[in-house]
Amino acid sequence: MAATIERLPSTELRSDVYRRGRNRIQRAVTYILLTAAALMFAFPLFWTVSSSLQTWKELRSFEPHLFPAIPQWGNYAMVFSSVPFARWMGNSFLITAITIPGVIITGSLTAYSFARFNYIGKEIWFVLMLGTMMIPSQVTLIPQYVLFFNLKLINTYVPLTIGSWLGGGAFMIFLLRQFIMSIPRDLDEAALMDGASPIRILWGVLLPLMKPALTTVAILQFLGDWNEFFGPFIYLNKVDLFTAAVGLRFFQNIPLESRDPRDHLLMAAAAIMTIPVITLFAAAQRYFIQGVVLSGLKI
Amino acid sequence: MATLTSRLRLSGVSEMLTTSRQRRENFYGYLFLTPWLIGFFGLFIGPGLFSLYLSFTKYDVLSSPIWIGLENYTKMFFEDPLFYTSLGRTFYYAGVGVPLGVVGSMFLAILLNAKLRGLATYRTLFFMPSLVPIVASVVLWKWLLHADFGIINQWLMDLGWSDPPGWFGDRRWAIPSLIMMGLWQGLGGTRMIIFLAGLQGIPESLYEAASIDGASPIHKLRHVTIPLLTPTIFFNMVLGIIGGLQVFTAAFVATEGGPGFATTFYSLHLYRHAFDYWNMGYAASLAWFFAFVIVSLTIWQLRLSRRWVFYYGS
Amino acid sequence: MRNHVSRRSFLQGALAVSAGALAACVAPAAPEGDMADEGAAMEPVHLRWDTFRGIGSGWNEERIETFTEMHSDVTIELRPLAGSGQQDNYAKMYAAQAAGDLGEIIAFDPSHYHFWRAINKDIIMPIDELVAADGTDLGQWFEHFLGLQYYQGQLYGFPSWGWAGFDTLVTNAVHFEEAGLDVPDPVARDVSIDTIHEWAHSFYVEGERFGLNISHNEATVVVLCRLFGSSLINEDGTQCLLLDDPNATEAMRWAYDLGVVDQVLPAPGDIDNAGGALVAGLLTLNWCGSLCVRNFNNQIEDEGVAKASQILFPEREDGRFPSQLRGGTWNLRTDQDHADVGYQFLLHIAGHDGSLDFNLVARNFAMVRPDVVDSLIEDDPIHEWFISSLENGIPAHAPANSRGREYTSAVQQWTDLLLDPNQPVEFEQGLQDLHDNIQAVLDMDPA
Repeated sequence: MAATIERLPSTELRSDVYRRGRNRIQRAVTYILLTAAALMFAFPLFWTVSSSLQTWKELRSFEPHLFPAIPQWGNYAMVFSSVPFARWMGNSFLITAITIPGVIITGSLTAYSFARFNYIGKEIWFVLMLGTMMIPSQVTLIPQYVLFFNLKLINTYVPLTIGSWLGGGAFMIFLLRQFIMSIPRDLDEAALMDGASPIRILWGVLLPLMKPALTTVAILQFLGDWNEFFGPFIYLNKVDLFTAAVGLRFFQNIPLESRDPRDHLLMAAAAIMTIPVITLFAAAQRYFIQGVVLSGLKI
Repeated sequence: MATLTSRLRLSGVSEMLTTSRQRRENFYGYLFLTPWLIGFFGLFIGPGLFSLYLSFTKYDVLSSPIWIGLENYTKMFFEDPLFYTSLGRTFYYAGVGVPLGVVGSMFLAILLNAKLRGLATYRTLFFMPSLVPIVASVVLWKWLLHADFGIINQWLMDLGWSDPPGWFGDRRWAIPSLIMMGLWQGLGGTRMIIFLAGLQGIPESLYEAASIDGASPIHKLRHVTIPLLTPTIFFNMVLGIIGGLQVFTAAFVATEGGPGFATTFYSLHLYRHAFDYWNMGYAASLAWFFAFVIVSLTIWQLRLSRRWVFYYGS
Repeated sequence: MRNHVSRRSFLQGALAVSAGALAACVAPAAPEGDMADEGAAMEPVHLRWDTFRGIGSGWNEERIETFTEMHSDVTIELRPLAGSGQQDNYAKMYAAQAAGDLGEIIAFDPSHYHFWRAINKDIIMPIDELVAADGTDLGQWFEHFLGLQYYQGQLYGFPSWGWAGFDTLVTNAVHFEEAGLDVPDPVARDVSIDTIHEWAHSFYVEGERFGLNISHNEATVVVLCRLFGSSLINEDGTQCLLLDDPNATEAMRWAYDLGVVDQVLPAPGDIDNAGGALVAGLLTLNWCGSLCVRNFNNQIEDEGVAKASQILFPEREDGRFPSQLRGGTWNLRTDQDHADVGYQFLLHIAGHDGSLDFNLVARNFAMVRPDVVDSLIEDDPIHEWFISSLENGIPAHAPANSRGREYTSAVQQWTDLLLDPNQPVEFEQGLQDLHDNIQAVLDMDPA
């Protein structure tokens, strides 16, 4: 396979004019494909915002309305006035502020260990690490719950954040390990020859090159924690400690309870929850690209 | 490094070097692994072994487990019809949905990796479905795929399909409906971002070299992009299969396992036993058997990967 | 309670590995400050109320406030449960109980089949002694809803909410007017099964409208069997009646004919949002609980498209109205130091004011006390439409082995298969499968 990369079959010379024309068509096709896909994928955002401005009657109607008859901006105010939603959003941010540094530091360390060192038992640990992803979480849940209860950690954020400071989970480690493995080994071998310690190599050589992957990890960690429902639901009992993802469910109608539906508030809360995520994602993209530009990943 | 070692070996210092080097590798390897090892034993092995033990018991969480030997496992293989059907459905879902998802995400990422203006916006737009809470997505898809009044069936009837599928309500179409919803949610999500990270790690010089050789875009795709993307494809396939086999939330929220068990996937079956029926012992045996299945599949994929995954750095 | 202690110490032993590893990196939590106060002369009472009922409406907070005003030495902590479904909340409550963290004021509703299991597992306590000590008048609740709170002769709670199950056809009167028919009297019980069958056909317009919607949940299937003079399982909760009682078989054949043979009923998933379909004029008759009428009425925007009415099922030969009386509860957790205070709080939330506001503020359907009926009818006259079912309904039959969740799941999924119009099964085969799978649940070991 390596051979195919080294030398591609050379083709006849083409004039610049021809090439430019071809590029233009290429670009047009790409834009058309992208726009079609974007329309499809952007619809839910439109849908969430539109439905958050409807009345519950409009929302409950059999064929949902594309647009509200009269935009109900008051829905948003209702979300914040009927429950402490602002506080819950703050709690969600706090959790991500704890977990993101955790996964970046300990996840990189673990990935570095797996990618660059040959030690006794590595293969076994690696398979076991992947194995943690494969055991359905429902079954370790009860023992874990009892464990945290006995450590008096119910109603704290420890059960929700400790994992990120202990490697951050198999997915993140695997992702970072794959990324480190794709970085030419010559770079750290050279640093090693210069007498750098492994931790210096990680800090000075690898981490700067890993910026795109670390950004990805940070985004994923944020998204995961932001939308995580089951953990906070199980481990938190105090209203003041709730997260936005748990709080969202207060607007879900309980079936067979005949009170008026609160779907409109549910959708407004969903929209409020989605906005920071989209902002973060849009903002982080620049670093994503910047990270690549700075990475110096050239040969 | 290889040449250096072999040269040293010739000069007779190799043995000393490898052992001291090995000691160093062991030390640092385990040093950096320590945080994960603590988590592994504390959060996983402890609770995991406990649940392995539970799989040989009758346990309802509220009273002490009662040892029943292999009874849960014999029940699973010989007395629980849903065990086999849910396993089959799960393989159907993952077997169709994951390859489609991985290939689709890869092509979206390749489109997005072109050097065009305004791509940041597209990237954000593509990511959208995975940001919107699932409750909202489910409402939307049930509306789109409604058997009698949904937009998609209206279109299909306009196109001449007189008896279009019943989608979520039809046992034959419920899983395809969930696959469609899953693709739409996942194509532009995390998987695509991982592909983008992979694409941006491909050295520009290779493309430049290919351009000098006059390679067409298709050529570059076949001979540069895809080969260098194989570690990422592999990563996404392994993760996709593991995630796909554990499909839960969509079926839990959208169809509750129905109609007529049509979307009762393995994880849902397991969840019901664990948290609805409180047969925690039986749920533990279901989980451990499933873990065995997924681990075997993953090892098989790792083996197979040596034939097709190409690491540029090595 | 010996069982309780040994179980917990057992778990601790089994988890020693984990605890050891984690303790190395987690600083032990500081002992809680109020522990030091223990043993002081005026011991303040702190109760925790774990509930998902009324959350977000302000009702819970108001009840706590008015109670603590009367009892200044008591504090009550509201711990709302926010599960994505009601059953998830029970999951959390069981998990909390396993860890010894369940609140003192809780609810394991008979209607969700958790009541009996909670008693068998010693989670909720009998309150007969507290009733006697307080001299509480038990006549303040409707007899049938209070009846649901008893198990083996002991009382375990007070009614929170209650309804008559899927006891009605919620009706769009506009379609009757358009067809030139008289709109059925909402309380007369004068529409026969054959007429309903006929209307399911006559109001069905292919691709445009459904005449009748029957969901496949246990609430519907039970009342369907009862409408034909039988039931789904016997009163003891040990036998499925579908094959043994010809009336039950006939009931299922009636639905099979409409759904599979004539194909005039919506398939599963065709109508997820039956309420919305009614409002939009896409459905004429929806088999539902009479409480749905109030919702339907509230949702109507255009009376030219939909107008609320209902058809109550005809009286049976035994004089009872086809229905399934079900309800909720408020309970006290076993093993608490201040059960007497907790008991007073139960009375406070299940009493006249608590119950009335549970309806009017928290918007529940909770006509569990005769003394709130007038106020509710005054609030919305439609409440009058359900009283007859409440007064002369048929109580729910629960599986004797407390396998309520397995039972409801088996009924739902196997009824889906029996009534599937897309891939039809023979009636005899489908009914046999449904019967066998329900019976298999009833034959399981007690939960």
